[in-house]
Amino acid sequence: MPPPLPETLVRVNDVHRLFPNVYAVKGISFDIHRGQVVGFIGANGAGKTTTMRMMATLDVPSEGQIMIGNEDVVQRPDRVRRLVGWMPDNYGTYTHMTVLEYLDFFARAYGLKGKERANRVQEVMDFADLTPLADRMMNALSKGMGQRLCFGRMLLPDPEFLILDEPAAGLDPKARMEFKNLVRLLSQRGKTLFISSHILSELGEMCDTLLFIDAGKIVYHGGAESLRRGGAANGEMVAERTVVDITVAGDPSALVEWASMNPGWSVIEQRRDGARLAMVGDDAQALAGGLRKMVMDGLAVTDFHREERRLEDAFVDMIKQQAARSAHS
Amino acid sequence: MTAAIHNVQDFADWLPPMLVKELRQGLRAKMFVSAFVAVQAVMIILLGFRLTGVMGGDYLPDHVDDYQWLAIGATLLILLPVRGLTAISEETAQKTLDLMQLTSMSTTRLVWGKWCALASQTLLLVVALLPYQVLTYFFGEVDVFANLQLLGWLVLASLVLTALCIALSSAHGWVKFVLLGLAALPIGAFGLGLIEQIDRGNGAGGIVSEGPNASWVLMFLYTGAMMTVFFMAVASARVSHVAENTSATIRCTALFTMLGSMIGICLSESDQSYAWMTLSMPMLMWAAMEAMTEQASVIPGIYMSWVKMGKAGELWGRVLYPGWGTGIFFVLLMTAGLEVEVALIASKTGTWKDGTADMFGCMFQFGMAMLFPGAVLSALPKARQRHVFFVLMQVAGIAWFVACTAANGGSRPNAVLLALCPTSAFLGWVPFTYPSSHGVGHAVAVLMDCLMLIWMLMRAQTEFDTIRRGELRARRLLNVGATASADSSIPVSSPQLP
Repeated sequence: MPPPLPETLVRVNDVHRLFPNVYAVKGISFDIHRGQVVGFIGANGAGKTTTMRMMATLDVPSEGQIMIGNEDVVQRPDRVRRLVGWMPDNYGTYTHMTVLEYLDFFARAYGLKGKERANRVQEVMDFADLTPLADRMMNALSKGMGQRLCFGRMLLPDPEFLILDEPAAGLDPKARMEFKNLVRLLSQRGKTLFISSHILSELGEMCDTLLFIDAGKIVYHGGAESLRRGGAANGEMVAERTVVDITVAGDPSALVEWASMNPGWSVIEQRRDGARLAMVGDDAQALAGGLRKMVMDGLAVTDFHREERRLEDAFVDMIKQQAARSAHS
Repeated sequence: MTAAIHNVQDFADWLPPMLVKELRQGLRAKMFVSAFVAVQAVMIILLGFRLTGVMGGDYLPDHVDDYQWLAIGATLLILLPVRGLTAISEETAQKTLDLMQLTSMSTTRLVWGKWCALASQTLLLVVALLPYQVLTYFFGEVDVFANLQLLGWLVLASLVLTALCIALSSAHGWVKFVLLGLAALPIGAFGLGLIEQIDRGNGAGGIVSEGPNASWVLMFLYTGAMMTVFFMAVASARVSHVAENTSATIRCTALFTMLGSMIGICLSESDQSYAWMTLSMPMLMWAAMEAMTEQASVIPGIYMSWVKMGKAGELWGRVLYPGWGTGIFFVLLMTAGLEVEVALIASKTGTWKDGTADMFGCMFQFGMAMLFPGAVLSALPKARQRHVFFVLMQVAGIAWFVACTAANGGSRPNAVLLALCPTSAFLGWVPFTYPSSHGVGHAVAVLMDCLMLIWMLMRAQTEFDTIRRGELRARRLLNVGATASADSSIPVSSPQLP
């Protein structure tokens, strides 16, 4: 009987990955506890997929150690693979094969036999809502259906730790909603999920913890709320700020000009009828003063509302801060 | 259980998953269906010609038999095997290889499954041809048993070629076709040997003669089977996890083939002895290429099973672990085996005085020619496409030989010039090419070889250090009995981290 799984299911310890011309991962470390849903965020080329591939035993670290369960991914990939489910960003299709045949093949490959195999395939098809597609050829599936099929394939061996690389990329809103529901159901069943995505707001809703990676280094590890409040890597804080969405009558460039002239204010985004501005700090009095000054300076403000800080903004701020720190050092 | 699930119970549980998948896909593939239909159509047309001939018509072409074998040969030797060329590359491009590697299926089962599926489609096509063979028998003037034997040999060659194509399918773009061209040479030699035997069938002693020569049949069957096993080992190595010691499988297959050749030489007639030796040599060359283009790794999974066997295991590991350092010992062992084969042939044919001394030198030089690209590569640890580099080095050696020969007006080249490169020295030393010895040339070549060997062994110390670290780590893991206490102070590999 295999030993029980530890509470800290995944331990990534000072992992580096060096390709012939690219230093993709530069000494990252983090832990993932059982039952957690972790969002993994980073720009293209930040090292997300490389990290995930190493965790899935498909690549090996140049240095450092990754333990999943009680096993090292390099030394005992066979044992790690029993615990891990992997869903790549681009699921592969087979020509001349139906959805059911695809799942049946992988169920056979996972060593399931006879009735057990048939039952498991049926369970997975029900869970991922694939039963109506059973006899459809794989190359006739939409992106959303394909992602559901890939999701179903990953669940066949009932893995404890699921790694999903950009699972929502290219999905329409309906398919995205279905995917979120699947993640929620798996989380309720106690599975540990590690999900990478560019859609930060969705990850914020789904995940208990967020991991930000930039240029091969972890720049943030914590909750979404903490990030919105300005938490950053290594316990440092990103300067807190207030975001306001302002609509003006007339030319919005006057508003942009005003923001650039007034210290403590900056432009995040200009719109057709206004702009999103940021003010340093979250002092209500200072905000009221700023608005008063805006009106007194002749801007025809017709609408105004204070926004909750978005994860995207927090991410961009963090990357900027990281870049500034790197440039300084 | 829904009706849909019942629909998929078309293959038994005991069949390998990869075979089931490939059969489901392959039997629906346009390539197979078109080949099947085209061959049937050709056979029906040719049967029509035969029928009109029997009925006294004037439409019977002179070479109906030739056309028939051309169609069957092209299908079995070209159309069906080339499908293997995309076997692995397609999975890699579709990113489905990763998904399969995460299942409980080993890479060996994966590639064998692909081969079995292609082989079963080949057999299906051949079975569909059998009724035509039987029908032609009734029209007379046809030796149906000889035809069936010929069909059997074509199937064997087709299966070996399929394995070769699968082995090459992981190579990129043009490299795949260059390697296929080069690898087709030994397969061609294998085929020519078959054809020679088939031709001899018209006289006596051939494999398609009235009384087939069992020893030739055995030799071709054995060589074909070992080639297939070898190609599958190579294909498996291309897609395996870094913690698997696939080098051991490749090298063991080559050594096992050599052992079989030795037994074959002992049991066969004297004229067949050289064929036993020659047929196994291309495989040894490929195995040497694999060995000399690898680099050692400290990943303990590679060493665990060998360390478990104690000192004997570790000693064998010095020949079978991955890396060009151990590759030196493997090639030396292989060379020693070839020398034994020469001795066996000489004792059988009684030609100790005439060409045996040259053959001993020739085989030694063959081994050194296999080491030579490894010596150059050892000075270029960061070189990529190491297989291509190996092949180019050998081609350069052959070009040097041709240039020297041409400079001598096509007659015996200057032995000292050839001795500068082990490959050209080997070619210059082949007794069949230049029967007389080149005393000074040989001496220079042997001196160069010894210097190369010493230099390689010195350079290989870093490889052996890596192996020792891997063994140490494997021993520690075995001692603690679990991986949980793995010592993270020993890095997995030692990159130059910036």
